[in-house]
Amino acid sequence: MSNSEYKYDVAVIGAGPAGLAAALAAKKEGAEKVVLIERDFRPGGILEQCVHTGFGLKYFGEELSGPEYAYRFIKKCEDKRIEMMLNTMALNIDGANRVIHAVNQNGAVQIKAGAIVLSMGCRERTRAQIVIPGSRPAGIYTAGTAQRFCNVQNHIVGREIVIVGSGDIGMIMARRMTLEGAKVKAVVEVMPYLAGLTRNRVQCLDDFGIPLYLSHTVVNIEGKRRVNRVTVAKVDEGRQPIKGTEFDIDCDTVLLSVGLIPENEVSKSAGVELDPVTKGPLVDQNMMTRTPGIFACGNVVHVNDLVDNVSTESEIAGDSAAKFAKGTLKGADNEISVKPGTLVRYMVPRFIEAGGVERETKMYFRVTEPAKNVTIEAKNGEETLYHSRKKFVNPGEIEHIQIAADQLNRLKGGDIVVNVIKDEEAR
Amino acid sequence: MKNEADIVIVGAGAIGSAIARELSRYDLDVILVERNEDIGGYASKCNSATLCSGHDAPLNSLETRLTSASNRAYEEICKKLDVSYKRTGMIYVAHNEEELVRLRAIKKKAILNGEYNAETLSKEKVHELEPSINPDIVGGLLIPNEAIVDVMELLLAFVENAMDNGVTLMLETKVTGINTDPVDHHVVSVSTDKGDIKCKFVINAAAIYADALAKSVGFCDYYNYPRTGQFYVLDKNLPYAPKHIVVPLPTPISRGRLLTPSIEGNLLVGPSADNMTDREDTKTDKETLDSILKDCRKMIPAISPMDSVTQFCGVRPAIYPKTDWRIRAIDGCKGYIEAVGINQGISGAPGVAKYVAEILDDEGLEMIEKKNWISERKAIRRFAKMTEEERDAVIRENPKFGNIICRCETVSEGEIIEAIHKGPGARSVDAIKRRLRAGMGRCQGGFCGPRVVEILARELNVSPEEICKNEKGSEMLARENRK
Repeated sequence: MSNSEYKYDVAVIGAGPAGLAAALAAKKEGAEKVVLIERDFRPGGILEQCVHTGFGLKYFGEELSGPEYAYRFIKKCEDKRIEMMLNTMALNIDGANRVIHAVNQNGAVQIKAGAIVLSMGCRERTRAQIVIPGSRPAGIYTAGTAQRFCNVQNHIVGREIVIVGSGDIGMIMARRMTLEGAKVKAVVEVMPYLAGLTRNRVQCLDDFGIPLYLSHTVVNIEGKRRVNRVTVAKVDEGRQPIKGTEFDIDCDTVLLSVGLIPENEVSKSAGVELDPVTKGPLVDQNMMTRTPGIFACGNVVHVNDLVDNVSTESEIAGDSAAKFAKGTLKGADNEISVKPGTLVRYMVPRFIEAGGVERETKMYFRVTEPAKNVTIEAKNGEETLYHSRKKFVNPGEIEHIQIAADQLNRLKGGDIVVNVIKDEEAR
Repeated sequence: MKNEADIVIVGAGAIGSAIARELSRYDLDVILVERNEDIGGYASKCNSATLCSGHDAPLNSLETRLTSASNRAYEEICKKLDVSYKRTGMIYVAHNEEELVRLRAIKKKAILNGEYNAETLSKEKVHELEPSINPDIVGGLLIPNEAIVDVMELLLAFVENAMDNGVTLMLETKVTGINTDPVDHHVVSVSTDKGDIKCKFVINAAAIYADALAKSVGFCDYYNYPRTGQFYVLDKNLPYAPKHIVVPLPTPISRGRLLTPSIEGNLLVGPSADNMTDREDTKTDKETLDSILKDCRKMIPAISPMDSVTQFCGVRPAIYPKTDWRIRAIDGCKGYIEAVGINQGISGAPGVAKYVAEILDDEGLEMIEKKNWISERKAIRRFAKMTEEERDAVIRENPKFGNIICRCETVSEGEIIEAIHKGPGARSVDAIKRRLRAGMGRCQGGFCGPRVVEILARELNVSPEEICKNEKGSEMLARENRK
């Protein structure tokens, strides 16, 4: 066989923010040969098209643009001589032998690794998935596609815009398109609350006078060759359109910002077990999946709202992958499940190996609905492991708790259940 | 522009394309004219992609004879033209005793129409063949000769093979009328929006626009109208996806809702059948999509809209009054031949094409077979279907195959470049999608769309703002950013 074969201690799939942080952490932990496999012509992932600021406030303590944030990591990777296999597409993984099958312009390549980190990110949900009826003309894009056209390929996709969904990319693009001279006529959100961050509503919609319609949805798209109109209707509590509330908005473009889905086709090929709620791999406190030696981090696990959190979480994955490759990753047989309880949609990580926990563990989650004045608690049987109060929680903003390593290592069995309890229920 | 030919074929749908290929066997000068930016017409490129056996068509009709002749020929045709084809068979399911009685009538007709192996199925046998079918059914009927095909590949194959044998294709050319001699009324030319084409024969394969063309020669005793069909396309590898085409008992105007496995492994759910007025309006609506789902769940209850990759709407060229297929020369208008009123055109196209060639012979056209007629054609080799060794080899030959543009369907830049330059080259984003599936996967072009626009613009040497989704007017981009 003429295919090229490579061997590495740690191989990272995807050189976006998650992959870059994981590769650096692996190198820092002593993995000698680390490689980043990236399908694009340059590292940085989606950050390269996020030319707006707002990145790095938590991680670097300063406000950076997407490319600036990425560059700090890319520079370090170059300094540390982490290999970058660019223009290379990982197609599938032999999970048992940890061999990545990829292609690039030189041919088919096989990358055998001591440990693999999955950091492929996520993709946007489409019109078809939310089933908006009507015609199928040009002018319907996901917000991220319009962002790529605008910020990478230097073209604006339309002049009069309606945005479906109040996700962060949608709101960011509302501002971006306005700055490019387009008229953003409405942002339409089916839920009674915002899907993205409040700060984006203020900075991207309110500051530009762009109307936000909560509890509304687009029920029809018209236009033969290019979009020329959408019909919007108010929805009831069951999210069904209310007859008689319809109104039309003339526009040539519909942008969709209706959620992100972790991109796990390659993970599935490796046999990695996925969480049906997040659609990302089930991971433990080391970000290891249920397939030994395969780790996952960033939006491929669960969709984050801040890149800063992705970097932090990915460092754990990279560090653990390096240890696994060296054979120094502490294992333990005492597996404890971390389960979403009241008002909690999912938990990451979903498993803790009590006895093998090396650091204070952050557990991330999202709530199922907005709530005011809540208690956040983590319980193992009757024992309370964590307790805090919060004025406001929102599905659009990720929450976390942290529990000390010795506290987790002490656990004998049972589950950890995380609940968010509203005040009136406590009474 | 080429302005003279022996024969002008109007419409590059299934019928026109198959006729073009058939006539390319002979020493004739043939032009195939299509109004859209790509071949495939309206109905042919957008349907359930099944090849009917003719078992349910009217007895002793041209429709039945040409469909079943084509059905028998298709396996061989697809092999020669490098088109994916699969004889899946079709299962009718009956939900009650009354439907069982109707099934017997369908079987009897099927036998008369040449389906010798039509087989009554017990309830148990139905579930053995298709375990996900509703446990409530009472029995079924198997029609073994029903098949599925990669329909766009088939249409491309007809046209490419025709072009390889000297046929000229003119895209984005609208035929506005047929001109006849004022004295004896024989065909002298066709008018198009790009100028006139002198010709001896014109073949009306304009499907939904056939009536307008027929009017221009003064022989039109019918009109065409659109009957739309909406579908869901479901994801690949669903545990409940059937291996056969699964159908209920037919309705008075159509086969009803089908569950059709596709060559690529998706499951098609639909269509509806609604008579419309606007011939190009292919919108979907919630009520219809909901009713399709409801009906299809009676056959396979596990079907879920959550598995939907997309929804679409195609349009059938219906005709009034409904008669047998009108494939004929017209007395009093020498040189005008029509092949219209054809439903399920793909299923019958090769038969229709052979029949039309015979009509031309009858009409006195000198038909001399070419000695060097090329009967075979090769499809673009699909990266997604190659083994790792094949991929390695093809990339070493052309590195562009190592650049994956569509991640959902694993389509490489090499294939896209080939599709732009091969035969009736792809000029639009949809044309690339139909040929290679780039943009047909889970992300629906979110990732590859901007890259496909870039490649099209580069290869066609135009600016990205000129690249369309399909026809002119469907430009993908508004303009460049502010300087």
